[in-house]
Amino acid sequence: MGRTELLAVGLIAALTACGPSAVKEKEKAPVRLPLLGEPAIVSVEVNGQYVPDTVYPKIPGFTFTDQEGDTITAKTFDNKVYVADFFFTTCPTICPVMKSQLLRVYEAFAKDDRVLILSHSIDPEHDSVAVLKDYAERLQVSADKWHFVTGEKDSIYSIAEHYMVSADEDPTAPGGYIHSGAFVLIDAQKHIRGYYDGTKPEDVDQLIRDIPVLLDEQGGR
Amino acid sequence: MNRAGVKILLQVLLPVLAIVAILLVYRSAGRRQRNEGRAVYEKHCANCHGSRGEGLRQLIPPLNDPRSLEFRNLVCTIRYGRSGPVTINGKVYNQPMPSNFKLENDEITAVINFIYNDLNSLSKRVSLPQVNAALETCRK
Repeated sequence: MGRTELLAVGLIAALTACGPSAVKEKEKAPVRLPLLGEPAIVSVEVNGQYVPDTVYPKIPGFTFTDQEGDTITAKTFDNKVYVADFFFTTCPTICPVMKSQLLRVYEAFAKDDRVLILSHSIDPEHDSVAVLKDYAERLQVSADKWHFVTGEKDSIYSIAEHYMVSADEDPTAPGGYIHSGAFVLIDAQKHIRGYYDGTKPEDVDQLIRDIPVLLDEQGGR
Repeated sequence: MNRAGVKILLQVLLPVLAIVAILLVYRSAGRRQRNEGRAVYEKHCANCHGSRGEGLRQLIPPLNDPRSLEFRNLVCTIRYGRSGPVTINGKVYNQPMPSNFKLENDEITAVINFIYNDLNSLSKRVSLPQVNAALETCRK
C-alpha cells in the first residue's frame, strides 16, 4: 500500500469517526473518483512473466467537426479533463436545461484550460456546422473550451455507446430523438470517472466539486 | 341568551361570517389555481424558459416582453407553438417552440395567470371562458 492510499484510508477513517456531518463532508470532496465501466482482466508482461491486470474501458479514437469547422479528435482532449454530453439543437425537452447547467460548469472552469466540454449533436442532418456555430454563439461560449460537434451519424451513435449513454432516433419522442441527460466526466487517460444528471442542479454541483479532484490526481502524476 | 342578543347574532354576526367564509373559499381556489399554474409551468415551460422565466442567454427568450405577454399571443403560442425569428426585448431569437396540444384549457389558464402574476407581478388575471374564446381566434 502506497503512501497516498494509506493517507486516503486514514482520512476516510478519521472522517467517518466524526459522525454524520463529517460523512457529508466526505461525499462533497471524494478522495479519489472511481473508474467506471466493466473492467477486463488482461495478461501483461512484467519482467518476463505474464501477470493478470485489470483494465478499465477507455473512450476510443474519434473524428468529428466542431462549430468552427475544425476537426476534433480524441487527441484534442489529450491531457485534459472533459465533460461529454449528447443533445440536438431543436430539442424541445431536456436540452435547454442541460445546456444551462453545462454553462455553470463552463463558467466555473472558464479560466482553467485543462477542462474542456464536448457536446455531440445526435441530429447531424439538421445540426450542420453553421447551425452549431449559431447555437454556440447564442450561448455566448468560446469554441476553444466548448466544442459542439457533428459527424457521421453512425460514429456519433457508436461513440455514445462507449460513453455508455443512450442516444437514438424515435419518431414518437418530442423532436424525434431520445437521449440521456447525463454529463459524463472523462479523465486525461480517457477513462470514465463520473455520471451526473444534467437536468439536476445538485448533480451538477457535485460535478463541479469532482473536477478539481481529477485535476489534482492528474497533477500528481 | 336574550332576544336582543339573538337579533344581533342574526343581523350582524351571520352575514360577517358568511362573507369571511366566501373570502376563504375564494382565496383557497386562487391558491389552488396558482399551485396548478406553477406545476404546469415547471413541467412544460421551465426546461427552456428557466424556473423564473429568465430564458437562456440569446437562445431562448425570457417571458417578460409586453408584446409576447399580450393575452391572445400568449394563449395561441402556448397551444400551437411557433417557429421562425422573433424579436423579444430588441433581440432576435430563432428557436422553434413546440405546440402543447395535451394541455387542457384550464391548465393554459392557470399557467398564464402564473406567468402574469408570479413571474411578472402584473396583477392581471384571466378566466377559463376568456381562454376558451381566445383559442377560437388563433391562426391554426
